[in-house]
Amino acid sequence: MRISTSWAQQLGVNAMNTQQVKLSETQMQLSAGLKILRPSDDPAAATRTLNLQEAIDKTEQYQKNIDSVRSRLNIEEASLETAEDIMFRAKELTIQALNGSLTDNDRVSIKYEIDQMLSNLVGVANTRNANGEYIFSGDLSSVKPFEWSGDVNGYVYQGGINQRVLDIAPDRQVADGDLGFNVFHNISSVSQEANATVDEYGAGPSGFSELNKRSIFDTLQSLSLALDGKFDIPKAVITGDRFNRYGATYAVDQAFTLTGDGGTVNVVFPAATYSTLDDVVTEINTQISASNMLARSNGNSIEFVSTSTAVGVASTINIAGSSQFLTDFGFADGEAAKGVSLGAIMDGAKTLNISAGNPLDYSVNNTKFELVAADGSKQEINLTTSFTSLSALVTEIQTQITGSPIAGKIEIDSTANPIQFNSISSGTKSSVQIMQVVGDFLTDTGFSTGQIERVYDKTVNDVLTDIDTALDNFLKTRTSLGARINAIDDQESQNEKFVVDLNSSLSETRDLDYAEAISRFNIEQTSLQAAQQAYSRVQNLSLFNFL
Amino acid sequence: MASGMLGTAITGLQAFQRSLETTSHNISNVNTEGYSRQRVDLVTKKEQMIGVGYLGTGVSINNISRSYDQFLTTQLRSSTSAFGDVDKYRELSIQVDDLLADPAVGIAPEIKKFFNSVNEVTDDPSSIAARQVMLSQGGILTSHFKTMNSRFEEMRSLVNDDLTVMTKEITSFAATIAELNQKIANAQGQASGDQQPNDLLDQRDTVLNQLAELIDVSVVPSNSNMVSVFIGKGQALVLDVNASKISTKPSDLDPSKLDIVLESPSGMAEVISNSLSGGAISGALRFRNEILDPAQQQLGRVAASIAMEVNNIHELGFDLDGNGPNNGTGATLFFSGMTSVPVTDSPQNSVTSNLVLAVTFDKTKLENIDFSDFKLEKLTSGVPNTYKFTREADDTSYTLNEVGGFLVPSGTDVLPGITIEVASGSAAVGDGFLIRPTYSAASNIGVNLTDPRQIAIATNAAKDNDGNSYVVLGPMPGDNRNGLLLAGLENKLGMIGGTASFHDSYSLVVSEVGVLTKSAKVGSTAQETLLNNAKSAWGNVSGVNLDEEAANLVKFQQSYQAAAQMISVSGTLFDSLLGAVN
Repeated sequence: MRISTSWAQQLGVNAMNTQQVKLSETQMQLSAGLKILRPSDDPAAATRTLNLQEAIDKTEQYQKNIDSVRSRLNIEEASLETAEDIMFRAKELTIQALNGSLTDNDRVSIKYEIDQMLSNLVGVANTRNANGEYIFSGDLSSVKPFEWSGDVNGYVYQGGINQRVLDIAPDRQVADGDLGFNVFHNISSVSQEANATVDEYGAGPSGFSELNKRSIFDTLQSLSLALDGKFDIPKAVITGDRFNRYGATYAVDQAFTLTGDGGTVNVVFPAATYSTLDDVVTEINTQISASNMLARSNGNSIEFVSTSTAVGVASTINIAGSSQFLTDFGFADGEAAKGVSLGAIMDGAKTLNISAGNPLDYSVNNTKFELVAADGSKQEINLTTSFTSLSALVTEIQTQITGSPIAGKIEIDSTANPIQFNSISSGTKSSVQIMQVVGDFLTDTGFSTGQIERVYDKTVNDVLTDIDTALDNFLKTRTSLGARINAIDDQESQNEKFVVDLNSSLSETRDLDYAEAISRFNIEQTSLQAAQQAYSRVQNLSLFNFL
Repeated sequence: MASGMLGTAITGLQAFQRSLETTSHNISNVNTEGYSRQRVDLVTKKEQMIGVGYLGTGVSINNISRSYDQFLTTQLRSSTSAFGDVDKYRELSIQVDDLLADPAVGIAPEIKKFFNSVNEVTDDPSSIAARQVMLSQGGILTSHFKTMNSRFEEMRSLVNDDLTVMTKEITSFAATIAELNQKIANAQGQASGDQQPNDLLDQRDTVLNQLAELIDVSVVPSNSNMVSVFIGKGQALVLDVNASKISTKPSDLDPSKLDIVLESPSGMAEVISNSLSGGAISGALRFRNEILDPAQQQLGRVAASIAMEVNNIHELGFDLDGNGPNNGTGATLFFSGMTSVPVTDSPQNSVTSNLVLAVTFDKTKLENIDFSDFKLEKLTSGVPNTYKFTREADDTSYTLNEVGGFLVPSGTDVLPGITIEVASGSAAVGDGFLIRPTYSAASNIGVNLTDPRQIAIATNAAKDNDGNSYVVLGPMPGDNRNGLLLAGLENKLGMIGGTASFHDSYSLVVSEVGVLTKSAKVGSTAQETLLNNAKSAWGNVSGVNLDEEAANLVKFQQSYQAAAQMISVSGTLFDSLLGAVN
């Protein structure tokens, strides 16, 4: 066995190189504090590191989202608390307003306070968050949700139609607020305004059903008017159920017909670009100005309303056509609405069951009763025949009313069963009273003598009920808010724990075990020194030294 | 003619002098690469019949030979070749590995930051500041793609430079070998018997070894001790005294890649890139095929997927001013640079070929986007025209038929997330085209938007009371639903056939390069050990050992002194004889 001298030297150098490479690798690990300096050191761990880091970043983003949601929900919570306080006070005032001993002056001072609360409540509903967004405007966050409209003569909702949600975890989203429409506007109501003026499709602003609903602002406004001695008879309105704030564009003319109390108008909506709802309204109004109808904006949707002023006649309105306009603006062909003509309503207590076999016979024992209107005018109704149907009875009574002093002040409902007398009035003094004269009519129909209905009492009682409903609605919203805040708190702590777990996995995967690395460093250092010493020793050995 | 004792002594003196000279030659060349130690082969001189018997007449030099083992030399050469291959591969792949490890250019954190910024806009869709951040993060993401892509391009040009330098070296080595063959043949002509020009042979072995480091060679001996050198699949690099030239030229379908061309002395040129199997040149080519191209293409796939998926959702959304797909102004794309997929015509296509292909990403099949390049070759003309569609990464292919102006596969085959439309013209049978869906995506990607208000975060979707869906045409500044969809893309398994997210897909690039680099490192260490073993074995036979030479020096010196002493003794004997006569 022989070895070549230059190779022997090379072996020594190779050994030192190898040790130096190892040492420098360990040194780099030590100075970076990382096990893996480049993907090839441990490809699986390098990928895991990327994945863990991504999961951590993602979860931290969810935490940020949660912070945003929480701050918004807190603002909403505070707003609703204020709104509740306002409503409690309004309820107190309403109960006061029902006190029969109040003078007109007392009522007016209550009205002032109610007006104040109304504007406070509007202020609350128009609360903005730190970013200047209206918190109750949903996805139309730059627009004030509730604004006074002179056309509608009330506050209209003009916010968005969808509530924004944020991701707080993979596949878990939470709404960062509530739509003002649902909180303040879409509140069940017992009032006849709410129950009688909606069109048959029950449309509210785009996307919402508004059947038998009244906004809390309308409720308070109705109270304010009543306290001021006014009673508003709502007219027939049909509302488009689509969001058309931004108008529409048509390439061809759009034709449809509007039928109101004054007759039918054929509207030809000219092809053009209408960039706002007001442009649409203006264009339609130029065409229907001669009729008893008006187009108006309720914020986001178009409404057609009857302007008929005929006393004692419920207004009607109807839209028909097959053009794209109807679809785009949320109307159905033939959609119709009826207004109310009513003031106070007085119901009998008994449901009548009249037929040919079971007639209501006053031919032997005639019966008489008196109807008294608010201004004291009265009319005695005298029934002397046998009635074989409800309509025959109602027709007879209405015939006797017509042409009497109470004509145009009191009417009998043509279809109601039990029998219903209505006052026809535009003021809160409006009332209807029934007095027994002779016979059995009152007993048969369930009225009692002296029974009186005043529109004021009815209005204020409705307001009281509606305020309770609104309070319930606020409470429901606050409960849902609380649930959401709990949910995000819960998610936040889950996320926190997840991040901690991920970080510890990341650390295990990536971070250097210093104890192990330092002892390795020492061993490698020793090995290098050994290699160097061995080299210098071996290189000194040469036979030439001895020659 | 000196005879007898004096003559015998003189042969000894001469033999030992030559031995000493050879030892001196050995010592002088102790550090000469490829030098094989030499020995003076001594034989007894022809004896003389002197009646009573045969009398020895001294020593003579038969040959000066080198310690040489054909097997060990061949083994060293093949080990050198194998090591040259894996070491070049390792050296280049480490650079990609380091690039991917460099946090300053890493894509993963930027993808995450981009989607975080989407989330921020979704949290607060009317905030111009948040929107501006999203635009900026989009810009940073695209510039990271571009940066990494350009680093890949730099590496490609580095590989090209490497290949060019190596081909020049190979050409020069080949010429040197041919020249040495000539010299050896000439020297061999002067020799009688088995004397060999040792130093020339050593030189040639050294050059062959240097050549083997660059390219795998098979060396076949021919007449007059010359050798022929063959590379690749038997292409002759050196035939006796004739050397071929190796050079590089831009690849037909992709000028950014250099092909290796062998030009024989007769002037025949042949592309041999795909037939090389060892040496550094093969390491560089393997690196380009196995690491660089796939890494760049896969990076491009991530870029293309992100851009297309984001654009798909973005263009259906509405911006802060209410501009969307349905109201004239139209929605905009968030990312630019993905409108078409590059197609290259082969320069070999027939002159009548004027086929123009319009290739675009198929918005509905984005999960199928494949990183490989695809080769399209016209098979038959007729109704329909048929084309062979080959996936370059693994050389699998299927047939496409031209139906209604589009090239579509039949049966269960699916196109890789692209549509191929015949825009105009026609091709001749055999014409070829290269379709590169992802190759340049990472360099083309950019942010299309300039105004933060143009980011489409809203869907403007609404439902009326009858449950009919419709779209609101106007600004909905608080609507973040399109933003939620965009943010949701981050978790969507929309890549690699619907199995991977953007992030997974990028991780795949990192891990694949990591695995290949790791195996290159291991392979390189293993080959280095084998090479060292071969070097050691060769050195043990052919290398110079100074101790041995020192011993030889002493031995030959003593022998020389002894022979000289014989002359002195012979002189004394002669003096004794003269003295006796006197």
